[in-house]
Amino acid sequence: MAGPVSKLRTQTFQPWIALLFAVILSFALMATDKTTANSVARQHAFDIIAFVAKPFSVIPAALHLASENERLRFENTQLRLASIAAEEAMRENVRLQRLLDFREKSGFRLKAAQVIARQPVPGVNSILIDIGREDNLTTDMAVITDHGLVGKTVQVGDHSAVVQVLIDRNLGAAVLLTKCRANGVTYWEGGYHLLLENIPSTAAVRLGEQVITSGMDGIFPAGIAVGEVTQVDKNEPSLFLQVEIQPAVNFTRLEEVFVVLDSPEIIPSP
Amino acid sequence: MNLLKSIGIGVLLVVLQISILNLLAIRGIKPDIVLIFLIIHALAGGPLVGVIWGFLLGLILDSAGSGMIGVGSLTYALAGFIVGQMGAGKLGFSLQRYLISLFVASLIGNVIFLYFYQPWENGSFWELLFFKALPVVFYTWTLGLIWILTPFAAKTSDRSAV
Repeated sequence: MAGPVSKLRTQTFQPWIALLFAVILSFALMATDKTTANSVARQHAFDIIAFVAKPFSVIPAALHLASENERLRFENTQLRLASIAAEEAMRENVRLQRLLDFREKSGFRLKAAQVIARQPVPGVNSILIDIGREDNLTTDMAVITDHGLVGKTVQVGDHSAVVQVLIDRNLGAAVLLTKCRANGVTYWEGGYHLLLENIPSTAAVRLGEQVITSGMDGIFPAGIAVGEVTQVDKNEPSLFLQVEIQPAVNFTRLEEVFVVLDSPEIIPSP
Repeated sequence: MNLLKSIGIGVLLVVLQISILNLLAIRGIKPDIVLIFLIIHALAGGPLVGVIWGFLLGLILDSAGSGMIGVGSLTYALAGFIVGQMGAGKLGFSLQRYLISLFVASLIGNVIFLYFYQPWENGSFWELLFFKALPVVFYTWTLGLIWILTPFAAKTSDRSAV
């Protein structure tokens, strides 16, 4: 009789005893949590668990692969754009610094303007700039860059102006060849080069000779670079030379220009 | 053989809990599949089985984490014991008892974890209970419900593992 009762008591108390052991052991582990022995044991346990868990770590990585790829592609695009923007900012900085230097040294009273539009209609080449009457602009004002002559203002609004550029059939500038001192007038017949008229065939025009404005047209101040001679043709029995010049300004890459508000009597040579 | 199989499954679940269960996390809250496994065994095997399984599983989880060692073993041992008492003797396993046990055990476990790990300056006890502990309890309970309704669970829930 005592046997089954004793067995039942043992079975009843077994879980309680086990729980007591578990609780005591748990608190003992908590109390020794920071000890070296515990840390070492835990490190080994962690190594084993890490070894077992390692193959499973591939699963979340694989599941996240698509989103990770997308995120990286997005970041790559962002970085590329940022890099382009930084390069562009650097180039702009260099360009603006050069323009600033030019503005200070030119001797002209200049007004800076941004090119906001181009009119690439054949034969009618003009650009739109972002300053106008409010900035004291009038028609027939010379427009230049640090490289040379661009053209002149032809229409002026309150806050914008149309600039007729040198490579336009209806615009010519009085120029001077710096070496042979011959005077002429530019004209344009298409392409990216200018032609000179009224240069006498006796003039000793040389290739590479600089061409500047002479100021004789009453619009463009004297001394502004126009270009350099790239070709000279003597057409017998004509009394004039056919001179081709490469403009100093690249008209396809105009971004900032200056409008000459007024100029001093003596204009420095470029 | 059954014991070895159960140990294998238990270790596998611990590994899954610490490795890929983050995929199921909703706003940082993830269910406790080790607890679900413990409840099934404790209900079927009684409080002694619950305590032993709880202590060992908790210890392995403690070893895998960076928290204080002993907290997991205490929590899971207590949960296993309480659930084992609920299913002790002739009561055995039933769906109703399983769901109640899962909720109670999960709640007790999370309150203990809350006590040890949650800094009280983050909010009052009730705030932490409602916003930290109960979401985990409900998530675990829901996953436990889904699991027990699967045909695969029927094989493991109608007998003691040890």
